[in-house]
Amino acid sequence: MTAAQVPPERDTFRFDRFRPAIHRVETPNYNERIGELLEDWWRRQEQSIFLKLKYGRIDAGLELHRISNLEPDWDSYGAEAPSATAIRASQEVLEELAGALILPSTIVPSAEGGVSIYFMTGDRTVYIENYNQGSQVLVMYDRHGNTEVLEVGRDIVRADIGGKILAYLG
Amino acid sequence: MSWLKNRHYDQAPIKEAIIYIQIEDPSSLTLANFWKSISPPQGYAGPQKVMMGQLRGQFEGGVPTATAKQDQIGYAFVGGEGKHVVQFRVNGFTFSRLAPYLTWEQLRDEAKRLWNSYRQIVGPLPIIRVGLRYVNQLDLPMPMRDLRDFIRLYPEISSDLPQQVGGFFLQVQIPQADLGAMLILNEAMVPPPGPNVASIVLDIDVFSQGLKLESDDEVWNMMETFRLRKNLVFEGCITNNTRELIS
Repeated sequence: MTAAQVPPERDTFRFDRFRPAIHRVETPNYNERIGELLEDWWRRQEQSIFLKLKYGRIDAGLELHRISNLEPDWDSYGAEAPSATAIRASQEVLEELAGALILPSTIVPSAEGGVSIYFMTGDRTVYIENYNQGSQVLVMYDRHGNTEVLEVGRDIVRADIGGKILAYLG
Repeated sequence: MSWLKNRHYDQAPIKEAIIYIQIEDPSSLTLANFWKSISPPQGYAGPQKVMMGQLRGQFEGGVPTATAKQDQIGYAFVGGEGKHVVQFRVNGFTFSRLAPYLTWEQLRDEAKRLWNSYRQIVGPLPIIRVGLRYVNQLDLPMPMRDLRDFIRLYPEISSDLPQQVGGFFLQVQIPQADLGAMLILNEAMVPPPGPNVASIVLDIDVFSQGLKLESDDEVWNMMETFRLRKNLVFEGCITNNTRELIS
Protein backbone atom coordinates (compact mmCIF):
# COMPACT_ATOMS: atom_id res chain seq x y z
CA MET A 1 0.00 0.00 0.00
CA THR A 2 1.44 3.35 -0.92
CA ALA A 3 1.36 6.23 1.52
CA ALA A 4 -1.05 8.12 -0.71
CA GLN A 5 -3.86 5.55 -0.06
CA VAL A 6 -4.06 6.31 3.67
CA PRO A 7 -4.74 9.92 4.62
CA PRO A 8 -1.80 10.85 6.86
CA GLU A 9 -3.95 12.55 9.49
CA ARG A 10 -6.05 9.39 10.13
CA ASP A 11 -5.48 6.41 12.37
CA THR A 12 -5.44 3.43 10.00
CA PHE A 13 -7.11 1.19 12.61
CA ARG A 14 -10.16 3.38 13.16
CA PHE A 15 -13.27 1.86 11.70
CA ASP A 16 -14.79 5.17 10.75
CA ARG A 17 -12.45 5.26 7.79
CA PHE A 18 -14.76 2.61 6.25
CA ARG A 19 -17.85 4.75 6.58
CA PRO A 20 -17.83 6.11 3.06
CA ALA A 21 -17.84 2.53 1.76
CA ILE A 22 -20.81 1.61 3.96
CA HIS A 23 -22.73 4.59 2.63
CA ARG A 24 -22.10 3.43 -0.91
CA VAL A 25 -23.63 -0.03 -0.38
CA GLU A 26 -26.67 1.31 1.45
CA THR A 27 -29.60 1.73 -0.85
CA PRO A 28 -32.73 3.81 -0.25
CA ASN A 29 -34.82 0.65 -0.73
CA TYR A 30 -32.94 -1.18 1.99
CA ASN A 31 -33.56 1.65 4.46
CA GLU A 32 -37.19 1.79 3.46
CA ARG A 33 -37.56 -1.95 3.95
CA ILE A 34 -36.07 -1.73 7.46
CA GLY A 35 -38.58 1.01 8.27
CA GLU A 36 -41.47 -1.05 6.89
CA LEU A 37 -40.47 -4.12 8.89
CA LEU A 38 -40.20 -2.12 12.10
CA GLU A 39 -43.57 -0.53 11.50
CA ASP A 40 -45.20 -3.83 10.56
CA TRP A 41 -43.93 -5.56 13.69
CA TRP A 42 -45.05 -2.65 15.84
CA ARG A 43 -48.51 -2.66 14.23
CA ARG A 44 -48.78 -6.40 14.82
CA GLN A 45 -47.94 -5.98 18.49
CA GLU A 46 -50.43 -3.13 18.78
CA GLN A 47 -53.19 -5.23 17.21
CA SER A 48 -52.63 -8.23 19.49
CA ILE A 49 -53.72 -7.81 23.11
CA PHE A 50 -51.75 -10.94 24.04
CA LEU A 51 -48.47 -9.74 22.50
CA LYS A 52 -48.91 -6.22 23.84
CA LEU A 53 -49.39 -7.60 27.35
CA LYS A 54 -46.61 -10.13 26.99
CA TYR A 55 -43.99 -7.64 25.83
CA GLY A 56 -45.35 -4.97 28.18
CA ARG A 57 -44.88 -7.33 31.13
CA ILE A 58 -41.36 -8.17 29.98
CA ASP A 59 -40.49 -4.45 29.75
CA ALA A 60 -42.02 -3.77 33.16
CA GLY A 61 -40.12 -6.71 34.68
CA LEU A 62 -36.84 -5.45 33.25
CA GLU A 63 -37.52 -1.97 34.58
CA LEU A 64 -38.33 -3.29 38.05
CA HIS A 65 -35.16 -5.39 37.96
CA ARG A 66 -33.14 -2.30 37.10
CA ILE A 67 -34.79 -0.32 39.88
CA SER A 68 -34.22 -3.12 42.41
CA ASN A 69 -30.48 -2.76 41.87
CA LEU A 70 -30.35 0.93 42.79
CA GLU A 71 -28.10 1.91 45.67
CA PRO A 72 -29.09 4.32 48.47
CA ASP A 73 -28.62 7.94 47.40
CA TRP A 74 -29.33 6.95 43.76
CA ASP A 75 -30.64 10.48 43.09
CA SER A 76 -27.71 12.15 44.88
CA TYR A 77 -30.27 13.81 47.22
CA GLY A 78 -30.18 11.04 49.79
CA ALA A 79 -33.15 8.94 48.54
CA GLU A 80 -33.53 5.44 49.96
CA ALA A 81 -33.07 2.52 47.59
CA PRO A 82 -36.39 0.79 46.78
CA SER A 83 -36.90 -2.06 49.26
CA ALA A 84 -37.67 -5.69 48.40
CA THR A 85 -41.15 -5.08 49.86
CA ALA A 86 -41.83 -2.19 47.45
CA ILE A 87 -40.53 -4.19 44.49
CA ARG A 88 -42.69 -7.19 45.39
CA ALA A 89 -45.78 -5.03 45.89
CA SER A 90 -45.11 -3.40 42.50
CA GLN A 91 -44.79 -6.80 40.82
CA GLU A 92 -48.07 -7.95 42.34
CA VAL A 93 -49.99 -4.85 41.37
CA LEU A 94 -48.56 -4.99 37.82
CA GLU A 95 -49.63 -8.64 37.48
CA GLU A 96 -53.13 -7.82 38.69
CA LEU A 97 -53.43 -4.88 36.33
CA ALA A 98 -52.15 -6.93 33.37
CA GLY A 99 -54.98 -9.34 34.17
CA ALA A 100 -57.32 -6.37 33.71
CA LEU A 101 -55.53 -5.56 30.41
CA ILE A 102 -53.78 -2.48 31.84
CA LEU A 103 -50.11 -1.76 31.23
CA PRO A 104 -48.09 1.03 32.84
CA SER A 105 -46.76 3.99 30.90
CA THR A 106 -43.60 4.13 32.98
CA ILE A 107 -42.08 2.82 36.22
CA VAL A 108 -39.66 4.93 38.24
CA PRO A 109 -37.99 4.82 41.64
CA SER A 110 -39.56 7.18 44.12
CA ALA A 111 -37.52 9.90 45.81
CA GLU A 112 -39.63 9.22 48.93
CA GLY A 113 -38.40 5.62 49.00
CA GLY A 114 -40.22 3.04 46.94
CA VAL A 115 -41.50 2.55 43.41
CA SER A 116 -43.98 4.68 41.42
CA ILE A 117 -45.99 3.14 38.59
CA TYR A 118 -47.46 5.67 36.15
CA PHE A 119 -50.43 5.45 33.79
CA MET A 120 -50.96 8.40 31.48
CA THR A 121 -53.37 9.42 28.79
CA GLY A 122 -54.16 12.85 27.35
CA ASP A 123 -54.05 15.37 30.18
CA ARG A 124 -54.71 12.84 32.95
CA THR A 125 -52.22 10.86 35.01
CA VAL A 126 -52.57 8.14 37.61
CA TYR A 127 -49.74 6.70 39.64
CA ILE A 128 -49.44 4.06 42.32
CA GLU A 129 -46.83 4.80 44.92
CA ASN A 130 -45.48 1.62 46.53
CA TYR A 131 -43.63 2.77 49.64
CA ASN A 132 -40.66 0.93 51.10
CA GLN A 133 -42.57 0.10 54.29
CA GLY A 134 -45.33 -1.63 52.32
CA SER A 135 -48.11 0.98 52.13
CA GLN A 136 -49.59 2.00 48.76
CA VAL A 137 -51.41 5.07 47.55
CA LEU A 138 -53.24 5.75 44.31
CA VAL A 139 -52.86 9.32 43.06
CA MET A 140 -54.92 10.81 40.22
CA TYR A 141 -54.38 14.27 38.81
CA ASP A 142 -54.93 16.36 35.71
CA ARG A 143 -53.37 19.40 34.10
CA HIS A 144 -55.94 21.70 35.69
CA GLY A 145 -54.63 20.97 39.17
CA ASN A 146 -57.37 18.53 40.27
CA THR A 147 -55.87 15.83 42.46
CA GLU A 148 -57.30 12.86 44.32
CA VAL A 149 -55.26 10.64 46.65
CA LEU A 150 -56.55 7.26 47.85
CA GLU A 151 -54.79 5.03 50.33
CA VAL A 152 -54.96 1.44 49.21
CA GLY A 153 -56.59 -0.72 51.87
CA ARG A 154 -58.29 2.23 53.58
CA ASP A 155 -59.95 4.28 50.79
CA ILE A 156 -59.88 1.67 48.04
CA VAL A 157 -59.40 -2.10 47.98
CA ARG A 158 -56.63 -3.39 45.77
CA ALA A 159 -58.96 -5.34 43.54
CA ASP A 160 -60.68 -2.06 42.55
CA ILE A 161 -57.51 -0.25 41.45
CA GLY A 162 -57.78 -1.39 37.81
CA GLY A 163 -61.39 -0.25 37.51
CA LYS A 164 -60.56 3.09 39.10
CA ILE A 165 -57.64 3.68 36.72
CA LEU A 166 -59.77 2.85 33.68
CA ALA A 167 -62.63 5.03 34.87
CA TYR A 168 -60.32 7.99 35.47
CA LEU A 169 -58.25 7.71 32.30
CA GLY A 170 -61.22 6.86 30.10
CA MET B 1 -59.91 -32.03 4.45
CA SER B 2 -62.99 -32.32 6.68
CA TRP B 3 -60.76 -33.21 9.64
CA LEU B 4 -59.35 -29.68 9.37
CA LYS B 5 -62.74 -28.18 9.86
CA ASN B 6 -63.45 -29.95 13.12
CA ARG B 7 -60.00 -30.68 14.51
CA HIS B 8 -59.96 -29.77 18.17
CA TYR B 9 -57.09 -29.80 20.62
CA ASP B 10 -57.96 -29.95 24.33
CA GLN B 11 -54.91 -27.85 25.16
CA ALA B 12 -54.94 -25.63 22.11
CA PRO B 13 -51.99 -23.20 22.28
CA ILE B 14 -54.13 -20.30 20.99
CA LYS B 15 -53.42 -17.24 23.12
CA GLU B 16 -55.48 -14.89 21.00
CA ALA B 17 -57.77 -15.12 18.01
CA ILE B 18 -58.36 -11.87 16.12
CA ILE B 19 -60.94 -10.99 13.49
CA TYR B 20 -60.35 -7.64 11.83
CA ILE B 21 -62.20 -5.71 9.16
CA GLN B 22 -61.16 -2.40 7.68
CA ILE B 23 -63.56 -0.07 5.95
CA GLU B 24 -62.96 2.61 3.37
CA ASP B 25 -61.82 5.82 5.06
CA PRO B 26 -65.01 7.61 5.98
CA SER B 27 -64.44 11.22 4.93
CA SER B 28 -67.39 12.53 6.94
CA LEU B 29 -66.67 10.62 10.14
CA THR B 30 -64.36 12.30 12.62
CA LEU B 31 -63.37 10.89 15.98
CA ALA B 32 -65.55 13.52 17.68
CA ASN B 33 -68.79 12.57 15.92
CA PHE B 34 -67.83 8.89 16.01
CA TRP B 35 -67.71 9.26 19.83
CA LYS B 36 -71.19 10.84 19.87
CA SER B 37 -72.80 7.82 18.22
CA ILE B 38 -70.89 5.14 20.10
CA SER B 39 -72.10 3.13 23.11
CA PRO B 40 -70.85 -0.08 24.75
CA PRO B 41 -72.18 -3.21 23.03
CA GLN B 42 -74.33 -5.40 25.26
CA GLY B 43 -72.18 -7.26 27.80
CA TYR B 44 -69.19 -4.97 27.35
CA ALA B 45 -67.66 -2.22 29.49
CA GLY B 46 -65.70 0.79 28.45
CA PRO B 47 -64.72 2.64 26.47
CA GLN B 48 -60.96 2.81 26.61
CA LYS B 49 -59.12 4.94 24.11
CA VAL B 50 -57.43 3.11 21.23
CA MET B 51 -54.17 4.69 20.23
CA MET B 52 -52.49 4.09 16.89
CA GLY B 53 -48.75 4.00 17.10
CA GLN B 54 -46.55 4.85 14.21
CA LEU B 55 -42.93 3.87 14.38
CA ARG B 56 -40.54 5.19 11.78
CA GLY B 57 -37.24 3.42 11.49
CA GLN B 58 -34.56 4.89 9.29
CA PHE B 59 -30.86 5.36 8.87
CA GLU B 60 -29.49 8.79 9.47
CA GLY B 61 -25.82 9.26 8.79
CA GLY B 62 -25.31 5.50 8.95
CA VAL B 63 -26.98 5.25 12.37
CA PRO B 64 -30.33 3.44 12.82
CA THR B 65 -32.88 5.70 14.49
CA ALA B 66 -36.55 5.30 15.33
CA THR B 67 -39.23 7.81 16.19
CA ALA B 68 -42.69 7.04 17.53
CA LYS B 69 -45.93 8.94 17.73
CA GLN B 70 -49.42 8.00 18.89
CA ASP B 71 -52.85 9.26 17.86
CA GLN B 72 -56.24 8.24 19.13
CA ILE B 73 -58.17 6.36 16.46
CA GLY B 74 -61.09 4.81 18.29
CA TYR B 75 -62.46 3.11 21.38
CA ALA B 76 -62.14 -0.35 22.94
CA PHE B 77 -64.64 -2.27 25.04
CA VAL B 78 -63.93 -5.27 27.25
CA GLY B 79 -66.39 -8.12 27.81
CA GLY B 80 -66.62 -11.89 28.19
CA GLU B 81 -65.07 -11.70 31.70
CA GLY B 82 -62.07 -9.86 30.33
CA LYS B 83 -61.49 -12.38 27.53
CA HIS B 84 -63.15 -10.37 24.76
CA VAL B 85 -61.86 -7.03 23.54
CA VAL B 86 -63.54 -5.20 20.69
CA GLN B 87 -62.10 -2.09 19.06
CA PHE B 88 -64.35 0.32 17.20
CA ARG B 89 -62.08 2.54 15.15
CA VAL B 90 -63.00 5.28 12.74
CA ASN B 91 -61.73 3.12 9.89
CA GLY B 92 -62.27 -0.40 11.15
CA PHE B 93 -63.18 -3.08 13.61
CA THR B 94 -61.10 -5.60 15.54
CA PHE B 95 -62.36 -8.35 17.80
CA SER B 96 -59.99 -10.35 20.02
CA ARG B 97 -60.70 -13.48 21.99
CA LEU B 98 -58.02 -14.19 24.60
CA ALA B 99 -57.17 -17.61 26.06
CA PRO B 100 -58.85 -19.92 26.76
CA TYR B 101 -60.06 -20.22 23.19
CA LEU B 102 -63.41 -21.93 22.94
CA THR B 103 -64.63 -22.62 19.41
CA TRP B 104 -64.58 -21.01 16.00
CA GLU B 105 -68.36 -20.78 16.03
CA GLN B 106 -68.33 -18.85 19.32
CA LEU B 107 -65.63 -16.50 18.02
CA ARG B 108 -67.35 -15.88 14.69
CA ASP B 109 -70.83 -15.41 16.13
CA GLU B 110 -69.66 -12.92 18.76
CA ALA B 111 -67.63 -11.04 16.14
CA LYS B 112 -70.69 -10.91 13.86
CA ARG B 113 -72.87 -9.54 16.65
CA LEU B 114 -70.33 -6.81 17.46
CA TRP B 115 -69.73 -6.04 13.80
CA ASN B 116 -73.47 -5.39 13.40
CA SER B 117 -73.26 -2.82 16.24
CA TYR B 118 -70.29 -1.20 14.55
CA ARG B 119 -72.09 -1.18 11.20
CA GLN B 120 -74.91 0.82 12.71
CA ILE B 121 -72.41 3.54 13.63
CA VAL B 122 -70.40 3.77 10.41
CA GLY B 123 -73.11 2.95 7.90
CA PRO B 124 -72.77 1.02 4.64
CA LEU B 125 -69.18 1.86 3.74
CA PRO B 126 -67.28 -0.61 1.54
CA ILE B 127 -64.93 -3.08 3.22
CA ILE B 128 -61.36 -2.88 1.96
CA ARG B 129 -59.49 -5.36 4.16
CA VAL B 130 -60.49 -8.57 5.95
CA GLY B 131 -58.24 -10.66 8.16
CA LEU B 132 -58.09 -13.56 10.56
CA ARG B 133 -55.13 -13.89 12.89
CA TYR B 134 -54.29 -16.56 15.48
CA VAL B 135 -51.45 -16.02 17.94
CA ASN B 136 -50.30 -19.36 19.35
CA GLN B 137 -47.69 -19.99 21.99
CA LEU B 138 -46.14 -23.45 21.95
CA ASP B 139 -44.54 -24.35 25.28
CA LEU B 140 -42.07 -27.08 24.40
CA PRO B 141 -40.34 -29.32 26.96
CA MET B 142 -36.65 -28.79 27.58
CA PRO B 143 -34.09 -30.13 27.10
CA MET B 144 -34.94 -30.92 23.51
CA ARG B 145 -32.88 -32.79 20.98
CA ASP B 146 -33.88 -30.67 18.04
CA LEU B 147 -36.44 -27.93 17.43
CA ARG B 148 -37.45 -29.87 14.34
CA ASP B 149 -38.93 -32.56 16.59
CA PHE B 150 -41.72 -30.09 17.38
CA ILE B 151 -42.01 -27.52 14.62
CA ARG B 152 -41.63 -27.66 10.88
CA LEU B 153 -40.95 -23.99 10.26
CA TYR B 154 -37.66 -22.87 11.70
CA PRO B 155 -34.50 -21.00 10.82
CA GLU B 156 -31.95 -23.42 9.38
CA ILE B 157 -28.64 -23.00 11.20
CA SER B 158 -25.62 -23.98 9.17
CA SER B 159 -23.88 -27.02 10.63
CA ASP B 160 -20.68 -24.96 10.53
CA LEU B 161 -22.14 -22.68 13.22
CA PRO B 162 -22.71 -23.32 16.93
CA GLN B 163 -26.14 -24.97 17.26
CA GLN B 164 -27.23 -23.45 20.56
CA VAL B 165 -29.90 -20.85 19.75
CA GLY B 166 -30.66 -18.13 22.29
CA GLY B 167 -33.47 -16.57 20.30
CA PHE B 168 -34.87 -16.01 16.84
CA PHE B 169 -37.49 -14.09 14.94
CA LEU B 170 -38.74 -15.26 11.57
CA GLN B 171 -41.28 -13.82 9.16
CA VAL B 172 -42.47 -15.38 5.94
CA GLN B 173 -45.02 -13.94 3.55
CA ILE B 174 -46.74 -16.54 1.41
CA PRO B 175 -49.33 -15.42 -1.17
CA GLN B 176 -52.51 -17.51 -1.12
CA ALA B 177 -53.38 -17.03 -4.76
CA ASP B 178 -56.43 -19.34 -4.67
CA LEU B 179 -58.01 -17.18 -1.95
CA GLY B 180 -56.81 -13.85 -3.26
CA ALA B 181 -55.15 -13.47 0.11
CA MET B 182 -51.79 -13.21 1.83
CA LEU B 183 -50.43 -15.34 4.65
CA ILE B 184 -47.97 -13.74 7.03
CA LEU B 185 -46.33 -16.10 9.47
CA ASN B 186 -44.33 -14.72 12.33
CA GLU B 187 -42.45 -17.11 14.54
CA ALA B 188 -40.34 -16.07 17.50
CA MET B 189 -38.80 -17.42 20.65
CA VAL B 190 -40.30 -15.68 23.68
CA PRO B 191 -39.69 -15.87 27.43
CA PRO B 192 -41.24 -19.12 28.74
CA PRO B 193 -43.79 -19.30 31.57
CA GLY B 194 -41.45 -21.43 33.72
CA PRO B 195 -38.25 -23.47 33.86
CA ASN B 196 -37.58 -26.42 31.54
CA VAL B 197 -39.76 -24.96 28.82
CA ALA B 198 -38.93 -23.22 25.54
CA SER B 199 -41.73 -21.04 24.22
CA ILE B 200 -42.30 -20.30 20.58
CA VAL B 201 -44.91 -17.86 19.34
CA LEU B 202 -46.50 -18.94 16.08
CA ASP B 203 -48.50 -16.02 14.74
CA ILE B 204 -50.66 -16.87 11.70
CA ASP B 205 -52.30 -13.99 9.84
CA VAL B 206 -54.42 -14.63 6.74
CA PHE B 207 -55.83 -11.50 5.14
CA SER B 208 -57.07 -9.99 1.95
CA GLN B 209 -56.71 -6.33 1.10
CA GLY B 210 -57.50 -3.99 -1.76
CA LEU B 211 -61.10 -5.16 -1.62
CA LYS B 212 -64.30 -3.25 -2.18
CA LEU B 213 -66.92 -5.47 -0.58
CA GLU B 214 -70.41 -4.09 -0.21
CA SER B 215 -72.00 -7.11 1.42
CA ASP B 216 -71.25 -8.33 4.94
CA ASP B 217 -72.07 -11.90 3.88
CA GLU B 218 -69.04 -11.86 1.62
CA VAL B 219 -66.89 -10.99 4.62
CA TRP B 220 -68.12 -13.91 6.71
CA ASN B 221 -67.81 -16.34 3.80
CA MET B 222 -64.25 -15.16 3.40
CA MET B 223 -63.59 -15.68 7.12
CA GLU B 224 -64.71 -19.32 6.80
CA THR B 225 -62.17 -19.98 4.06
CA PHE B 226 -59.46 -18.11 5.98
CA ARG B 227 -60.17 -20.22 9.03
CA LEU B 228 -59.69 -23.45 7.07
CA ARG B 229 -56.47 -22.09 5.59
CA LYS B 230 -55.27 -21.06 9.02
CA ASN B 231 -55.88 -24.60 10.31
CA LEU B 232 -53.98 -26.02 7.37
CA VAL B 233 -51.06 -23.67 8.03
CA PHE B 234 -51.00 -24.51 11.73
CA GLU B 235 -50.96 -28.23 11.01
CA GLY B 236 -48.23 -27.61 8.47
CA CYS B 237 -46.06 -25.94 11.09
CA ILE B 238 -46.19 -28.61 13.81
CA THR B 239 -45.16 -32.24 14.19
CA ASN B 240 -46.87 -35.24 15.79
CA ASN B 241 -44.86 -34.58 18.97
CA THR B 242 -46.53 -31.21 19.27
CA ARG B 243 -49.93 -32.68 18.46
CA GLU B 244 -49.44 -35.09 21.37
CA LEU B 245 -48.47 -32.20 23.64
CA ILE B 246 -51.59 -30.17 22.91
CA SER B 247 -54.11 -33.03 22.61
